[in-house]
Amino acid sequence: MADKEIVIKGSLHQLKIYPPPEVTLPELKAFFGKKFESSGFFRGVRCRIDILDQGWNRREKEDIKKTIGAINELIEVGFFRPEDELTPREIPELRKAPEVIKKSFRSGQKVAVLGDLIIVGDVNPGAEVLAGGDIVVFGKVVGGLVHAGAEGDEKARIFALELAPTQLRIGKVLGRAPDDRVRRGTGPEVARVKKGRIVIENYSARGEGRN
Amino acid sequence: MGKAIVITSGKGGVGKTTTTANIGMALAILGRSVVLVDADIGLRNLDVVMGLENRIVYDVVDVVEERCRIDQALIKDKRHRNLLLLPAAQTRDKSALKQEQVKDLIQELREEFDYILIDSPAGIEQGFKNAIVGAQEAVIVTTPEVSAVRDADRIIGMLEAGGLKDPRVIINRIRQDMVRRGDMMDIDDMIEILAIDLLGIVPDDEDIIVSTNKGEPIVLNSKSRTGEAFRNIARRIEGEDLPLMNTGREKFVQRIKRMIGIS
Repeated sequence: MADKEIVIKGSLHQLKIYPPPEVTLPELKAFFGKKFESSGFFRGVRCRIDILDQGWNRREKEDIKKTIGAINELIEVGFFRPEDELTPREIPELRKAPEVIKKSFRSGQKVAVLGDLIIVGDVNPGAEVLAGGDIVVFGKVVGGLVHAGAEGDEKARIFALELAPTQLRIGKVLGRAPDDRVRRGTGPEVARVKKGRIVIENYSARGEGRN
Repeated sequence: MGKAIVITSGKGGVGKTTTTANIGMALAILGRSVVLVDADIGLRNLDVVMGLENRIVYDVVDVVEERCRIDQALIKDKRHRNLLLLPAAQTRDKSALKQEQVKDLIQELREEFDYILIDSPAGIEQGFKNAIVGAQEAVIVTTPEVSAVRDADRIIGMLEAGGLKDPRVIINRIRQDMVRRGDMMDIDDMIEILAIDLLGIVPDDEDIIVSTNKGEPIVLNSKSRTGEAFRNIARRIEGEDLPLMNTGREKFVQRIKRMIGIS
């Protein structure tokens, strides 16, 4: 079989090898020999190589390790199963790393980020906080506009230690503070869209970690 | 074609926004269709005073930058359907609007509504210029303080330069007891300095603070004297010739009348 069907991913210090299921052990060993040894590229380099486990037994795995060790004994070899892997492609680009902002937002101040947003501080009346993903406020939201899922994601949520904004938006759904009374939060709260409406509930860890 | 009136002062904190909200509400109660335009970009308040902040989706900057239509940005008042608010943007600044854009916008509103009341920002810079550019009339709000009157005088000059002749003045926060003692600037002194027509006087009133904080313009309170003052101002704007301030305190009314020379 051709080398090109064995896919290599990663950086110089951490490689992931994806052999196809039908690969034979000699083929794999030949691949390492050809790719790694002949190029001299890995000589003296300390790195880690993880190989997608195609159901080899322990002896076969040792054999693979030995082959690679012969090329460079500094290389650490491991195996992983498909279910262990989080493929980066499944995470939308904009949801990668949350933005963390350590300050309070006062009237007239605005922030808009593509992904998730964590604010360590308060959100005051007249401020605007927008994010493409979830918004977590480690502080009080005592007014202002808080818009999660600003690019249309109605699964986005808004968490705050106290959640009483002037207006809440999730995706294209809009909720506003009651006219006649001031909403006072009672501990950590979460806002999400349920049946097309924004609902604010007391935060409970149960069921939150998912999705 | 409706009439656009700018409400301005030069000095901050004299009650422009409260005055705009109350005159607007009073005109709506009189059956007129009214749009309040908050021209104080970056320091918007009119929506809060009207109790409509939580309804804002689009603002005046969105309109001029064509992110929405005018009717999408207009917020209907929760008490009076004839009254609408075009809110300012809070997270932008005065440079977000250009005079030409404001002029066109006000012109468009005039085609549909009887009155367009423009709440001007304090100061004499860009924001003020934006606020007056589309107006046909101007109302100056001042208080019986030397500094406020000085700024009002400056504004009258700038309004004239901007083509707004014959502005009228509202003297806000008159305190009867102080006027009686002679501790407050005399209304006729002020009128003499400013040399423009008096549109109304509004007594100082703690209830204003309460109503402002609650987002309920005081004209809605039929028992309030301050509310009555604003209702009278609205009727004068409508062209009625009303005597100044029926405060219910004969002595004070007499004194005012004497001061402005109508009795």
